[in-house]
This record gives sequence, structure tokens and C-alpha cells, in this order.
Amino acid sequence: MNLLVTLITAGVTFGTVLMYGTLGEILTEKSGNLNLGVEGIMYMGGAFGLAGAFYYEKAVGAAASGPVAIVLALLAAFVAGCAASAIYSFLTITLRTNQNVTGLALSIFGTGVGQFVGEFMRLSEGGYVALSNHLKDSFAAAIMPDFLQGIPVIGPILFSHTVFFYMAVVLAVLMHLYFTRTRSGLYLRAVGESPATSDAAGINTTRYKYLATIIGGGISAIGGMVYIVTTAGCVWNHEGLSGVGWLAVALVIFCIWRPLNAIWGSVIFGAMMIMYLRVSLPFMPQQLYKILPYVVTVIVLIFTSMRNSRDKQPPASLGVNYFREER
Amino acid sequence: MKRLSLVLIVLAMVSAMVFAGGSSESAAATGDSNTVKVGLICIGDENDQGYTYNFIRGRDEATENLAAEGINVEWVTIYNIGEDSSCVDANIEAAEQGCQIIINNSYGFEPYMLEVVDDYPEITFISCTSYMSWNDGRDNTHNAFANIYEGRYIAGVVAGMKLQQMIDEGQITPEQAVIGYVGAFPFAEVVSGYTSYFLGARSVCPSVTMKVMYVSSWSDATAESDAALALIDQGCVLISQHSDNTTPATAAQSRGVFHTGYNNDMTGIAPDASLIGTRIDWGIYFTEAIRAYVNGEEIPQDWCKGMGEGAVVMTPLNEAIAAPGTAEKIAEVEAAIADGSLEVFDTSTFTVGGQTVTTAMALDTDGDFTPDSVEAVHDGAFHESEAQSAPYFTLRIDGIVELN
Amino acid sequence: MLGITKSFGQVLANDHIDFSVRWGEILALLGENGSGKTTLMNMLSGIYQPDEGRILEDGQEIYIRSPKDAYEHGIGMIHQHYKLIEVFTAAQNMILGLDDVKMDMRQVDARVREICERYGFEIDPSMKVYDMSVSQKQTVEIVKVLFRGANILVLDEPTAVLTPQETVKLFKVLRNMKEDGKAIVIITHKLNEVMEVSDRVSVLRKGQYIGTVETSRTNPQALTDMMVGHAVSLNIDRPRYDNPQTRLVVEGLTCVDEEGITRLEDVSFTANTGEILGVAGISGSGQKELLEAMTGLYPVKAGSVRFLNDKGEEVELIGKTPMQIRRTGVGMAFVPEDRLGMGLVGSMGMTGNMMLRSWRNGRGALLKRKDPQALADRILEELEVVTPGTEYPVRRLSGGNVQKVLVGREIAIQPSVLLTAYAVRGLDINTSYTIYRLLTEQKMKGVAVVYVGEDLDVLLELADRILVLCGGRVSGIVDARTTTKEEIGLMMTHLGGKEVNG
Repeated sequence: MNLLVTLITAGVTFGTVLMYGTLGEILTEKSGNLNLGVEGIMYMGGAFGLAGAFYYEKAVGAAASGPVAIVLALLAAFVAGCAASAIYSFLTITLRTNQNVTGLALSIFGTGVGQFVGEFMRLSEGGYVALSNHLKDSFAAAIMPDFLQGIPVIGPILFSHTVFFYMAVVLAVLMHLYFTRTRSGLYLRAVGESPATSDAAGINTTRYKYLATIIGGGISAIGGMVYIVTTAGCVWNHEGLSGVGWLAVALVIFCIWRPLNAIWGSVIFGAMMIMYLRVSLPFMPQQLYKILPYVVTVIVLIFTSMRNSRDKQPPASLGVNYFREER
Repeated sequence: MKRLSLVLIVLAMVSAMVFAGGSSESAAATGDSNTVKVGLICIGDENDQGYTYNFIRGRDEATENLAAEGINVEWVTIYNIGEDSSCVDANIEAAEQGCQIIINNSYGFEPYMLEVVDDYPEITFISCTSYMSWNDGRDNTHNAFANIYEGRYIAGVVAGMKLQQMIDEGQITPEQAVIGYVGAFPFAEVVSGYTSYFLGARSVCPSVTMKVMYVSSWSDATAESDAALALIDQGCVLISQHSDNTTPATAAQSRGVFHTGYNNDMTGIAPDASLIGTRIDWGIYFTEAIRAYVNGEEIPQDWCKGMGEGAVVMTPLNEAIAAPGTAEKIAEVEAAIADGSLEVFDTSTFTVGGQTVTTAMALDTDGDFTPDSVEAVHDGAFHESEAQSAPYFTLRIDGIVELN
Repeated sequence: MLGITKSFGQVLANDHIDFSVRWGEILALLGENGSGKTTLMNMLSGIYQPDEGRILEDGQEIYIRSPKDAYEHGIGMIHQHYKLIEVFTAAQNMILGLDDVKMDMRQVDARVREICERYGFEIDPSMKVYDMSVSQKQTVEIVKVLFRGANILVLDEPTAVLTPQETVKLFKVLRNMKEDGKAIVIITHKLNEVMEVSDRVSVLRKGQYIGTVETSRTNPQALTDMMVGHAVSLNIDRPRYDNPQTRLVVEGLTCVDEEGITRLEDVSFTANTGEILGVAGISGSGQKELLEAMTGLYPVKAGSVRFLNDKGEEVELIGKTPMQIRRTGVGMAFVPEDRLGMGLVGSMGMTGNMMLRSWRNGRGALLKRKDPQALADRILEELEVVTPGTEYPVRRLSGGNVQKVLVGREIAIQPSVLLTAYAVRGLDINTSYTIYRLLTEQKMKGVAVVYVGEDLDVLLELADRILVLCGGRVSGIVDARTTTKEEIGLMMTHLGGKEVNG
């Protein structure tokens, strides 16, 4: 039992990173854009987010306040993600390039930019780039009061996490409400299902696609920042984020494009990633553990397509560019 | 015209990709007569605040020392090279840039380095922490390491003293004195490292035991952090590591357990957790090797020095949290090692499968990864790093459990 | 709508058309395929803009630049291809794009039910579209239009996918809406429906407005005359072939499509050597299914297609795949309607497309390129195909040249049966005549040619006999040299043709 509790609790740390990546990508995909560049966007989010907090601290010195640093890091990461997605949007929505190719190019580009920014900071600082311990503590701190954390079983699982986890949960709930309860959310889903129909109904498909993709990219980028400030200990890490973006893309499918599923889905994926360290089955080599999330995603894909339930399909025009003249 | 621009774009992309793997910097050149160009190929960069950072420190220290002697060293440093074919490219790049000596800093670089050495017979290749040069039939390859086990032993002593203090003060029971060790691979270098560490701890805290977790990578910040947390969840109250990043330290700090580091002083990053660290001072070796080269002398094929010569040093002790009397104990042990009265791998201090060890081979001559020549056990101890610089202690002693 | 003109490139779809509809009436817009009906209505619903002309509502000029404008003027169009989001409910589809309607689904539901009651629709607002039948989806579309306050409704071929019972229901609600004062336009080519439900009929032919009549004062014959017009002489050479033999016997062919609609019913005819059998009929009468069933590409529910070779031996073709048909030695060539989709591989050159027929001739796994190359060269020369080379991708060729490549390839296998669907659609005059010449040449070599076409003038001059399909059934088989355009037109719209009363 204790093993399960610790496994889940530990899984949340990595799961939070995934959650941002996934939620952002869900928003993007709901509008019909398949943005495979999440990997690059998360790298950029990590680099720029750290830069935001780091330069703030350099400028302000000892007076650096934790909350302000968090806000700055969030903003910097978000803006970086939005910028990258804006490029993608322009290419695919206005210029109508192939979405898969553009997304892949963005993932390589974003990784390069992120690593470049990290290197640049390292060189200009003449050493490693890290935040002071004081700031590090605010980023990584568990924000719930101790007595809540002390509750057996639920305590660690639910209450022992950083502010980013709770923010992500709130974001997931908000997104769910947005999709199901608001008119704008309904229109967005319509655009993702059938842009031709939405266009005929008078909805501005271009605007919805742009906004959803850009904001979605910003959210995904925050995930990269969360990785740097929690797991990597507020130090720029060159390869730590590699593969995380792709996991997020797989997780979107696993969650069947539903934000609420992302909450527990990301924890499960997070737990699977660290399972090799905690659950040692003698016949399972480490590598097998590491491919577990992907295997699970494939299984989910097979099941959903077998059952053929119409509600569980991707948005019908996902990955397809909309040409108005073809009407 | 469209074709031409397409071809140009493709060319530009291809050349960009060639430069994408790893980055390099070169220091500017001033004088010439006593100038030597040295390449340094690193598995990471200073951001790891660990392994590669330690090498950079060594590099800078050597540059300073040699400059004082009138030797000017130009460095070509290449960062973030993986233990894969990009290492071959990096070595070639360094060679093409005119390096006279090329240093590879990671254990797994050696096979790739060996693919290049025959093409540049006039360049001296050095593979740190590795072992193949005595057997590879070439003149221009060398190895180097240090008696890091001495440093680890002392770090273990510090850890043990802390644990014993916790037992004496009733914070933990004797059985709860468990050390968690984040290791990279089950290689001899790692086994040797954690065994000497453990023996040091046990010399002052008899009830201590150790759990080891391998993360299958020399440098994987996420995995190292995860492993540390997993060990802590399993009841370890002190964490140590043989891996390149600082995340085990931050993990320990976040959970309120103690830590000893490697390659760097991690007390700045984890002031409430990290007690001490140990590192190889590569500056000593680099100074010697480069000086020898410039003076036209032979660089030893295999080089290994210890604490006594300053090749292995301890990082500053975190007095705020260390057990009382630690500093004195350290001095005592250092002296004992230096004068030979203390053998780290004294065979009377450990057992394997309940038996005392009387014989163990050191070198592997036929490439099957089982040592088969040169007796390492004599005079009541296993003599590490005597037959070659790279460690070869692979015995699994009682009291240490490997979890994966 | 006054003086409406619209061109797409070279094609003049609407040529100065005057059109009007009154409140409280059902107007049928009648015309053959390509007559411009849908284009005209698309301008009313804001999808296209007219090149010339004006639109007036109640005497006031209005500008319709987008579907939204059309809605604002109370015009709603129900297309042949429904514009619904499958995973939404009916109610959710209703409110798409309506920014001023409150998101209160209960209110929406209530309003939907109110509309349904008023006119006699039966839909459940909370049902998901993917669970609905085609007829229900159409109802959702109509209610959607009414929900937005449309007073002028345009329905494009509404009964194309309905069963007779569903059609009856539809007409009932249409009459209810008419009583309520709405103006309704039905685009159709089904004469019986026109007679049944409309008040007036406007006829278009080849992009031009012919005239409007009161339904009560006309009859199918007169309407057909207006739709089809007089015969035009084309000067196509039509030699006679001596001694035609029976080559194909089609008996009782019946085909049902995926949605359960019967496309061909009890079709029987023969195709003879040395003869061009023309197949006439309104689009969707089963021509495509007929040809595909004969080549083994369409599932057949009942009936047989028997091929008789020169020795009089019979081969049953139904139930075989195209490859199996080929193996039996039956030389059947097929020039499909969908040239670049079904007939040719667009990104390959002429040679590659020749190989589509001959790829099995190579040894082992390797392709033999020499023969197809020679064939491609020959076709290029003999048919004067305009292309930069035989490796140039065929999809880049002009329509006429594409067709020449396709027909050339099919003829090259020296078939005994040649089936063509809409062989000259979209081609210029010269290329069309080239195709006619090729087909006639094949006929004189003893090939049984089946020519499915839509231009009655051509059929009358090219074919020897004409088979007329109407609603999936054989309406009649006549001698092309003695029949008239009116006779055929009547058979196309009315089973049997001859028995007609006004």
C-alpha cells in the first residue's frame, strides 16, 4: 500500500509537467490543428521561463520575491510558447502547409532555440545558470498546510504538491467547462469537427484556430518551465526535456481529448516513467518500463477505435487544413 | 530559380545540422613559442555543476599553473557530446582544429575515440576514467584516473559520523541507518566507489547498511532525482551519488535527509542536506601531462595519483550540519591513508557471501569483462588502482543491496 | 433575381437569368444537369457572388455577400450535402454561429419543439446527429434554417436520398410552411414531384432561363420539351456495321448501395458487336452503378451479365473481380467518369499509366518498361496528346489530353467490350470529335461499345441504339436513327415515356 502511495505521489511531479503539455495540446487539437511541435515548445518554455526568473533575480538581487519570480517565469514561458505556436499557426492556417511537417520542423526548431538560449545564458554568465536557493524553495515548495499533508494516504497523494500542480488541475477544470458549457467552446469544437460547416454557419474559423493554437502552445510551454524548476532543481538542463513533448502528444490521445482525463492520465504516465525505480519485477528490464506509457497509449488507441464510439474520436478534421474555396 | 533556391536552402539546413550536435569554444591565442593546443571533449557542460564542471575547473586550474611556468595553453572545448557516434565527430573536429592533445572526459568515450586515433598518429589522445590504452597496441593513447576511493572513504566517514550522531541522539534506531546510493551503471568504477564509501561509513557507524539504485546513465537529471526520491521513500536517511548532476542533492534537501556529493561542492545547493563532497582535481594531471608534452617527455600511459599528491580532494565540510568532531576525524583518516597505516579495502573489514576474500584478479586481458590476471589481494587488502588507474573492484560485499 | 450572370473560367454557368419566387408558394426550379440551377441558388444563399445582375427582395435591392448575409435576409438553403457536425446534438447544431441566442439549452429545446409542432416535424433536439437517419438529418437542416428565422427556403434535390414514405412526409411539411406564408424553392429534375407539390415551375437549360409556367396548366411532356429543347445537328459520322453479334447479355441486374437504396432494378439489355449502345438518363439514374457492376467493381444483389465470345461460349461476369474477369480472357475496357481518380494515376506520366494495364507482363518482380513506353509514344503521336513528355505527370495535362491518354490506353488492349462514362464531359469541341471518331473506329472493328452520356444531341447522332434509364430502371430501348429528342427526354423523366398525360 505504501508503495502505491509513494509511487502516485512521486508520479505527480513529472505528471504536472505532462499535464501542461497535454492541456495545451488538447486545446490546439480541438480546433483541428495537430501541433507536433510540443517538444520544441516545451524546450523553449523551459529556457525562457528559467531566463525570466534568473534575470529577474540578477536585476533585483536579494530582494527577489518568490511569488514574483514564479509569475515572471510563467509569463516568460507562456509568451515563448505563444510565439512558437504563432509561427506554426501562420504557416498552417494562412499559408496552408502540411501540419505534420510543420509541427515536426517546429519541434526541431524549438529544441534548438531552447538549447541555444540555455547555452547563451551559460556563456554570458560564465558558468552554470541556476536560481538561488531562496527562489528555488518557493518554486518547489508544497503549498498546502502541513496538517493536510499529514493525513494518511490522501495526505501525500493530494496535498503534498507544488503550486503548479494545483494550477494545472484548475486549468483542466476550466478547460472542461469552457468546452462543454460556453458558446465559444462549442464553436471551437465545431471548427475542429468541420470547418466547412462552421464557416457556413458564420463562425470565424480562422480566428478560432489561431487563438486556440497560440494559447495552447503557451500552456504547453509552461510545462517545460515546470520541469526546470521542479525536477531539474532550477538549473538549466540540456537534455532533461527530451521526449517529454512526445509523451504529452501521446497523452492527449490517451485522454481522448478530454481535459479532465488529463488530470489522472498525466499522473499515471508520470508514475509509469518512474516505475522502474520503485517496482522491480525481476524479469522486466528497465527499458521495458520506459516504453510502458507508449504501449499503453497504443492499447488505448486500439480500444477506442474498436469500440467505434463516435464521442471518443479525435476532432474530425484534425490535421486537415481548411480550404475555403473547396466548398 | 526555384530549384536553385531550394538547393541552397537544403544546403543551409544540412550545414546547420552538422553544427547542431554539441557546441565548441576556443580560447584566443596570444604568444606562440610555448603554445600548445589541447582539445577537451565533455559529456555535459558546466550546468551539471558536477562531473563536467569539475573537469572545467581542472582545465582552468592547469591553464593558470602552466601560464605561471610560461606555457600557454589554448583549449578547444566541445560540450554535450553523448557516448555515441557524435563522439567520433567531436574527436575529428578537435583534431582538424589543430589540437595536439585531445582529452576525452567520459568513460564511454574510449571506444569511439579509438576509432579516430589511428588517423592522427601524431596527436596524443587521453581517455579519462577508462582503461584500454595498455592493451590497444598504440602509442598515442593514454588513460588517467585518481584514487577516488580514498576520497569516497573519507566522505563515508563523514556520513557515518552523522548517522552515528543521529543514532546516539535517538533520532533513528541503529537499523534505520540506511544509506541510499544513486549509481550510474553497475561498472567497476561505480562499485569500487560505493564500496569504499560504505566501508568508510561503517568504520564509524557499525550498524549502517546501504541500498544502491542504478539509473543507467552517467548523467540524467530526471532519473537521478527520481532515484533519490525513490530511495528516500524506501527509508534511506542519507543519500550519496555517483552521477553527474546535482538533483540527488536537491531531492535530499527537499525531503529533509542528508547527502554527500561527488565532483563538486554541493553544499551551496543543498545547505541543509549536503555534508561534504569529494572530487578529483584534474588540474594536477592536466598540468603534469601538458608540461611533459611541451618538454618533449613521455606522458605516462596510465596515470593515477591519490590524496597525498593532491589529485583527490575533499570539498569543504558543511560544519553547520556535520556531526561534532568530524573535522578532526577527517584529518586523522587522511593522515592514516597518507602514511599507509589505513588500507581502504582492508579485507578484514568486509565479507563477500559471509566469507573473507583472499584472492581477486585485477585486469581483464581477453576482453570478456572478467578479470583474469594480476592478483589484487595481497598484504591483507585489495589494492585498487594499482595495476591500472581505472578501478577494478567488482566484488559485492555484504551489507550493500543493489535494488535494480 | 434579375439578369444574373456567373462564369467559372470558360464555363458560363448562368447567362442573364431572371428568376422570381412569391410568398406563400412552392416553386420548382427544373433543369438537366449542368443547367445552372445549383449555381443560381448558391448565389441566393451567399456562397457565390454574381458577376452581373441584381437581387431584389420585396422590390428592394439587397446584397448577399456571405451565408450570414443570406440568413439576415431570411434566406435559408438546405444543401444536398448536409452541413452538420456529427458529434453534436440537433440542438447544438441549431445554435452554431448564432451569437445572439442565449446558450440556455432548455430555451433552445423549447423553441425547436415549437417549430416542429407548427409544421409537423418530428425530431428530438437532444439526439446526436450520428444516430440519425438521412431523412432525420435533412429535417434537422430544415428546422435549423427555420430556427434562424428563414422565410425563404431553398431545397437542393431534397428527395434524392429519401424513400417514398419520407418524401410524402417532406411534402406535407412543405405545404404547411407554404400555408404559413413562406416562399419555397425546390431544385429538382424529377417531373412527378414537380407535378405533385409545386405551384409554379421555372425551367433552366444550359445556363439560360427558358420560362415559368403554372403547374396546374402544364404537363410533363411540355416541361420536358422546355428542359430539353430542340435537336441540334452535329455532323457525326455514323457508319453501319455488317452482321452484329450479341456480345453481352444483361439480365435482371439489381444493385443496392450501402445505405440500402436500390440503384438498379431489374435491368435487362444486350450489347452487340459493331454497335455503340448509348445510355441516356438523368444523373443518378444508375448509370455509374451499371457500368461498375459490369466490370466487377460494384456489389450486385441479383441478376447476371453474360459475355459471349466468338465461339458462342458464355462467361458469367457477376461475382468476379476485375482481375478474374481479365483472366477468363474477356477483354473489357473501362473509361470511368472519374478520370484522374479512378482511371489514371495523376502523379505518374503516360508511360507509368500504360503500365497500369501491363504490369504483370514483367518477369518476376521487375517491371518491363519497354512496351508501355512504346505504347505511350504511339498514343502521344496518333492522338496528338499535348504533353512535355511521356514522364510528365498526367494530372497536369488539360482535361482533353487526360481523356486522350485514358481512352488511348484502354483501346490499346484491343478489347471486345468498351465501356465509357461521360467520355466527353468538359472537353472542347475538337477533342470531343476525336473521341467520337475513336469510338466509332472501335465499333467498326467489332467492339461492343457502351456510351453513357448526358448530351442528347450527341447520343442521337453517335449511338446506334439508345438505352434510357429512369430511377434505376430501364425506361426504354430505342433505335437512335428513328427516335426523337422529345421521346428520349420523356423516357428519362418518366418510366415508359410514351404513356403520358398532362
